[in-house]
Amino acid sequence: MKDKTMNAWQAGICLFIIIFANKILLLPSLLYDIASIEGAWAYFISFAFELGLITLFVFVKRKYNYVSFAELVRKKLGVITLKIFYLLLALFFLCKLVLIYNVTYIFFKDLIYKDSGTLLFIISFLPIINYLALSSMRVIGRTMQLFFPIILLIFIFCTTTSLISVGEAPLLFQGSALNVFLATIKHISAFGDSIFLFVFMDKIEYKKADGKKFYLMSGLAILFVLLTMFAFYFSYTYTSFMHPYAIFETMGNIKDYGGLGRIDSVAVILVIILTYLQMGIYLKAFVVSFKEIFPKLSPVYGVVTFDFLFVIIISLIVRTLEKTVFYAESVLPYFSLISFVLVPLSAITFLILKRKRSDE
Amino acid sequence: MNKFKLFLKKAFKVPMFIVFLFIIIFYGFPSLGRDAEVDEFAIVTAIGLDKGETENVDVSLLTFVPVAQQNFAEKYKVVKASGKSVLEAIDFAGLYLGREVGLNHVKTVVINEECFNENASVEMDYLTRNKSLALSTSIICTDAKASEFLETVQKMDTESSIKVDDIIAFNNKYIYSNESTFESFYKGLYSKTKSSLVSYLSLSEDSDEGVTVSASGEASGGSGDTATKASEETKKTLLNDGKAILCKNAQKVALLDNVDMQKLNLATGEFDSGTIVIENFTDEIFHNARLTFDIQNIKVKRKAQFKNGYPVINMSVDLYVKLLEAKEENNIDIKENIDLKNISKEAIIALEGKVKSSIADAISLLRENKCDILKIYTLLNNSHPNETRKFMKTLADEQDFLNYVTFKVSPSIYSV
Repeated sequence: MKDKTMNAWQAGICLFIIIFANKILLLPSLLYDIASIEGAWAYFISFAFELGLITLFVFVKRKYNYVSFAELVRKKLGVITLKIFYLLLALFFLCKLVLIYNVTYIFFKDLIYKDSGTLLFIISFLPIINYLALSSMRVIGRTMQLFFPIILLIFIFCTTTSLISVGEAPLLFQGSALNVFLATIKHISAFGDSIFLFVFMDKIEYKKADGKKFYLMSGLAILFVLLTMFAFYFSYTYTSFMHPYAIFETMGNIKDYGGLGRIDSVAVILVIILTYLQMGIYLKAFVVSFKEIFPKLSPVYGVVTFDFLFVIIISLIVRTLEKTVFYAESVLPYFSLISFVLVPLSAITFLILKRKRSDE
Repeated sequence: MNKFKLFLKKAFKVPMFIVFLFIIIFYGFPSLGRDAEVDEFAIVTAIGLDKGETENVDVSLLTFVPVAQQNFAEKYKVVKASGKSVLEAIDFAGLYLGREVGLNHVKTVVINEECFNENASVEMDYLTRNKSLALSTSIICTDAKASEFLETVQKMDTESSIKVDDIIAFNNKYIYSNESTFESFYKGLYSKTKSSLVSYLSLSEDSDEGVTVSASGEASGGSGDTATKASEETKKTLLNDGKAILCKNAQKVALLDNVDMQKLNLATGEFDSGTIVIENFTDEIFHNARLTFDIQNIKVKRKAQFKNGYPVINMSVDLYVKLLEAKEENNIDIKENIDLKNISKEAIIALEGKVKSSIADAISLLRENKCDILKIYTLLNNSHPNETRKFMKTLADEQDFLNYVTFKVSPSIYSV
């Protein structure tokens, strides 16, 4: 049984990785493009939703500690709703995986592997994340725990050195409220990642005061994202829209690093680690959702189905940076309804039902 | 044998081992048979851009040529090509070289002054979009043809240890208040007044100053590898005298000499070294002397406020100086001179006057050209957004806003 669960700290670290990882490359530049420096408000607004989602999870977990979210949906809303619900969730995780993979792939293709095709990249990524997804929850938790201090160290190095090199102030008060709203809506899909907690609900060991751990880790992730964003905007000011890869670019702005060579490669290591880990978590969430849709099939089928769909999408549909950005700005926001409307609404329903029952 | 079989049996149970094997077989071994990168790519370290005939662009590439030799000298060649666009010209250069042109190692882009007579960002467009070229690549504007400039640079590299990248790095740190890179150029271009500074190096045949090298003359001309053409040897002098061009909308509006640059530096406070000279100075010790002070440190603080709807910038300039040279008509008493540790009150007043007049000159230069190199608009907008918006609306030409800004400069001189 222990192998099938992870403790609250490990879940907190997963939460940290998921919140932090997919917001430090393309997002700051895209937000600046829409709403100039005021694009930063999109972060604050979306993080408010994200924290709301985490709070909901903590409440639901407190009330239904040993029950899975799927079981709650089945009992309260019926089997058909469960199937639709988890089909949507699986679709959400698949879409996020496609986005994360493409952003990292294009990043590496631009910077290092100019001539290599997607096949080499797939070979480097798919087997490892497949392995991670088929491993037990404890293995995933321990892997995250192992890499967490490395991520912290690299990030602190990157941010400290880049903040030291920051020179001038960006131009403030240029974006309108409408632009901030547009930026938030267009990139809402970069947020709402914490719904993976609901999918793993019964697989997380939760004691009375463990809610604090979730808030601590998500707070830390939010702080890190904001630090990256500010270091980036203060490094590039008026030309922030010209630099697509935020954390890497802030390292590129550093001039006084003696004879160390190109230290932006340190940020590349961070991006690699984070991509593997978050893709592993998302694929695990996909596999768990797949299992709820097809309970009799082994998780291996979930992984194979994912691989098949994934290869089709990245080879035929989303191939270039432009298509990835279009996909992220125009298609994925609709999927965010799952994380910001469907899951919270059902969680609130379960909480109300529980309250009514206890009142009775 | 059995142990090996057992090992294989165990290894094949680990999926990562299979992946590792797959990568080694399909990617590892084939890569052993591939040509070396230097055989596939021409490693370019500097690019020159000139306006060509009939709207063409002439591109010159300073290319590293790998040659086995016993000393540490690196061999470079300048390859010229012409095309309707920079990309086309680079493609032609690749054809001449028989290699794909690799721009990952480019550190400098030399652009002929003629390009800056019109919108130079047109010529820079491809290099900006090209992901191989870092935006931290230096830009140099030159009065000579960029191809000639690169030929001189090539000679400099082989004849001496002086490298043009080092000169530019030195300028960025010690001479210009701004860097001269693609990044700084675009930062300026996307600012309110669309103005940027680009470093300027001249190349002449009759200068007594600067670094002189023997370089191939213009006689070669045309496209292709210069080594294949007959060329006459001429003496060329690369002169770095701290000049810069002031651009607005990526177009040259003024050529600033080192005196202008020093004045601008006093206003920005973003440089590490420099001198300040006061002429005809008289006090208890000196009579009609010329005093040269070394600037040890400078701190400039700017604060914006609005008075009657018009912006006022209060600039406090803390200047830390050291008297390093005194020249008098009649020789001064060395004894008294070397005893001097503190600057006299009169000298401080004179220095304050000098700082004020220098900053005033710098500001009028910027006003004249409607260029906000000092980022005054950002300061006003960030500290008083509503008032700045109202103020800008009252202006017939927003680009001319510096003419309506009052500057109050209060210098403080400290002797170190």
